[in-house]
Amino acid sequence: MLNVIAMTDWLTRISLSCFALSYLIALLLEISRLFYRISVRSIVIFALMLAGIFAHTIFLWDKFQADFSGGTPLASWYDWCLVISLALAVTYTIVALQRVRHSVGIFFLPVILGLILFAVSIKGRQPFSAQERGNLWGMTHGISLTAGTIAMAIAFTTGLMYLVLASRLKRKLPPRAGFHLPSLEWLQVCNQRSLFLATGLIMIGLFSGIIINKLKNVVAWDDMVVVSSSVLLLWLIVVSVFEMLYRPARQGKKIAYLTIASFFFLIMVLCFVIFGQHAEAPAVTMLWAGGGK
Amino acid sequence: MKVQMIGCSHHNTDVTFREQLAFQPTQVTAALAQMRRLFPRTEAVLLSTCNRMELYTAAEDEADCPTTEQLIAFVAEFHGLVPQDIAVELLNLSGEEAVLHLFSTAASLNSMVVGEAQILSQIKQAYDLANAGNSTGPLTHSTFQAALRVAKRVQNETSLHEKRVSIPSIAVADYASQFFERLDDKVVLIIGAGEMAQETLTYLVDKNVGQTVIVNRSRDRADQLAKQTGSEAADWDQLENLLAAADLVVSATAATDPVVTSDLFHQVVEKRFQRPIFILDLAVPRDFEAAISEFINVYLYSIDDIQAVCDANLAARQLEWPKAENIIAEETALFMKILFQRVTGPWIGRLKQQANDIKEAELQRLQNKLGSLADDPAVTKELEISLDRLVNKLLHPPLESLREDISPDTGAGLLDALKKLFQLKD
Repeated sequence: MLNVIAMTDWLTRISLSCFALSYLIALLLEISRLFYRISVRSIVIFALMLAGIFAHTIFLWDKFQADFSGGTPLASWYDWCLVISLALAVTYTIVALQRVRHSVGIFFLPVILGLILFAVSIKGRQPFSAQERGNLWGMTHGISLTAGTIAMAIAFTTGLMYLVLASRLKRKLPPRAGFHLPSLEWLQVCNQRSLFLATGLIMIGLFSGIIINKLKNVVAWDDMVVVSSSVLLLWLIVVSVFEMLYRPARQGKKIAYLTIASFFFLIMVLCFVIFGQHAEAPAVTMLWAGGGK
Repeated sequence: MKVQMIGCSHHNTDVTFREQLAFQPTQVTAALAQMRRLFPRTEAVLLSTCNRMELYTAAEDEADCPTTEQLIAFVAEFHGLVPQDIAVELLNLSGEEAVLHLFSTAASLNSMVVGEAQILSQIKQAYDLANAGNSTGPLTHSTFQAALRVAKRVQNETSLHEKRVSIPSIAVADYASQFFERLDDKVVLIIGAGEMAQETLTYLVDKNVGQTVIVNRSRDRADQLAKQTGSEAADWDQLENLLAAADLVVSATAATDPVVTSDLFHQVVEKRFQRPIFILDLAVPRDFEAAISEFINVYLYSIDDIQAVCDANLAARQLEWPKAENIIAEETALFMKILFQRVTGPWIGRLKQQANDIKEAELQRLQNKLGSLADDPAVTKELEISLDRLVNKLLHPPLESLREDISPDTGAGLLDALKKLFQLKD
């Protein structure tokens, strides 16, 4: 009984720095592939990622429990950034397990750490309005946009890897010890599928936002967030249609470039939402995170 | 106990000489059977590849092992040669040197292409063949099994085998794998039907490639190669369409001018809708105009691009050489120690038995002298314990010295001394 209490106490003391440090050491070990040959490195990286994911999950679970008792869980950008980074950490671990010799961590882990850092930087921002978070359309809006962001981050990472590998192959650089990437074919397939998935999810997220706004009129139609979100959606639809109809766009670097551009576009729109004036207004935060008046 | 080897390799003989001494698989079986008839108590394994012929023999008793001259005569007579003509060229090793040589060969340190994996499977085949013909025994079992284990250790602990050094193997394993996740759904076009094309095709077939089409100016050659490799052959005038359909192109013709020009490839690109294509131009002079590499999603590699990797890999393998040599030296020393333990074991047993016999005789004599006192079991027990302790204390120092100083060099001298001092007989 005492052991269980001690264990529970120990688990509640897990902090953000625990898993961030695990991911950081994993990243450093991934980078060391380029310079040193260490036989147990992959096992250590895998163990660090598992420890990080465990700590990350416990941390979010504790926060979820605490938020639940005082209102609605996952009710801030801080929470959502940590959820996205956890999803990416799980994705990376699965990919790394399947491709032990490949240096995918060099591309995935900076994005994961960047998201954690970003979460820390916006920790003090006001959470979403409490009364409206349980709304069905609001939940659809928030979850689909988060999942869309995860898919877009994966598309971005694989697109970046594609461009690096394509550039190395075009310049006929010899294979570098410790820096093996998945094949161009695999990266292209992952990149395309993630982009299509992200487009679909963001489309659902934005349409549910429009419905919320139509029902409750929370924000003006010419608001910067609404305009930029609409332009992002239009851009993603154009990219997807372009890729489907124009055969050369399906191949090679074009799709990778378009994905990277799409990712930065998404980041820009999210920045408008988080840092713009509208973010301070409860109505707008609700539009993005699950609510409307 | 004796382990010895006579043989030749590309290091000390030319190909003409090696051809004369080469054994085909059926000849290996016949030769080993003949060996068993001539030297029934000798174990033998015969390794014959295009780069080496090595006959390993071993026997528990040195007297059962054929002499070097007898082995040379055996090999010469099998091939209808004069022993004196081949004796000078043949390498003759015995004991630790022979073991070290086998371990180094298995680890591919003695190969023409250092680090190549083929020799290990050839040694395994030779050992299996000797096993099947009942030519092996305890010594060859332990020697060859140790050789296979040492080769694996070198493979695991050094990167000697990781770096490929032949153009087709690098092209397929190091480059094609960076483009394609799988090859079983890909279309491969082979332009030319020469040796290089054939070798590359072999690697591709090993990788389970989907569809392979061979196109050659001489349709007959293309048909012939297609038949050998289970591929398809196509007419030369189909080249443009075949290029449009291919994912991977291997070109190795003997043409003096480019076979595929920029103009021709421009039409191909239009048909491909910029689908990526990996072209390996292994011909000298080149079959594809260099400007073709400027097209979008075209990755054109010439033999020089791959040769650079080949040279770098060879240099990297050389760096791993000392590490591999250390492993082999360490394993050889350990193996010889174990082997020597096997030699000393029966003699130690014999010495203990001799001492025990003396103890039993002395105990019997003492019991007779003691008369009724010896009827007390406690007294008998005490006497036996005392004599046991005496024997053990007397034998412990020489046996400990033998165990500690167990290297074949010094240990053999101690063993001989032990045999003489205690008058141990076979």
